[in-house]
Amino acid sequence: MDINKINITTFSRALEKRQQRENLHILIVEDQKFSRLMLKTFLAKAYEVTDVETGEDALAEYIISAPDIVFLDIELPKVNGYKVLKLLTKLDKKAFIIMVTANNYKEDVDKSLTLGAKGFVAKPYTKDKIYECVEDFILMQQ
Amino acid sequence: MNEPVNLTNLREMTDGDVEMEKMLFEEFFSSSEECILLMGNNCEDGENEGFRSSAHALKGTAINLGAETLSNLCKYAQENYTASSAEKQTMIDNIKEEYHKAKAFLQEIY
Repeated sequence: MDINKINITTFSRALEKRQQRENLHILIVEDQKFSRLMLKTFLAKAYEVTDVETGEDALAEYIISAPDIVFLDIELPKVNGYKVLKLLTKLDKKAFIIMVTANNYKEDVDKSLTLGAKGFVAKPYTKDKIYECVEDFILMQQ
Repeated sequence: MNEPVNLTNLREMTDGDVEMEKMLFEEFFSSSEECILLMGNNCEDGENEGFRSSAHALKGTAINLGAETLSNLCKYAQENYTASSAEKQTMIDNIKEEYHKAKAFLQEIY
């Protein structure tokens, strides 16, 4: 994954569309199908949702759609969530990224927040945890 | 005795969508069996990343399903990925046993 190879024109268009859209667009980055499906099922009732399995696909999708919120799993194959987080926060100063993990270790929370994540969700996904993330995003926009 | 799976949270997330629930159960069966197989294939003495990552993957699925005992067994395996082959085999046997309890419980539902 090379941030220098990003098509800036495509990303600029996506950012323009982000300014204009009415409904939230959420990107889920999760390699485990069960967890991906569960979260997507919940979010898709209210929001536009795209899901991908890998860090590489996350970056590609981010450039095309500039999502409002990203739920990003830390432990991904090949390119882990921290690397994706670093790239996305470098690419987009307004990136709103929530790190998710089945580990609930303090060092994961600290590292995520230090690298620019806006929140942290320890699995299991619950309605309350997910709504809280969306509400945080909405509050930050006001 | 506690049930092997508590579906309360999953059903809140799926809003009681029966077809989605069935799909998730099937995904749980296939991904769990794949993870257990991979753990068995990475069972040699000492540090083994394949064993750790497979245990972690199954833990994430189990915890989201509501299979707490299974997720705790996977957590133990994930955190003890440097154990001996014999110890790892015991961890896998315990995980398999709990997985089969969870599977039987879910198959009773539909």
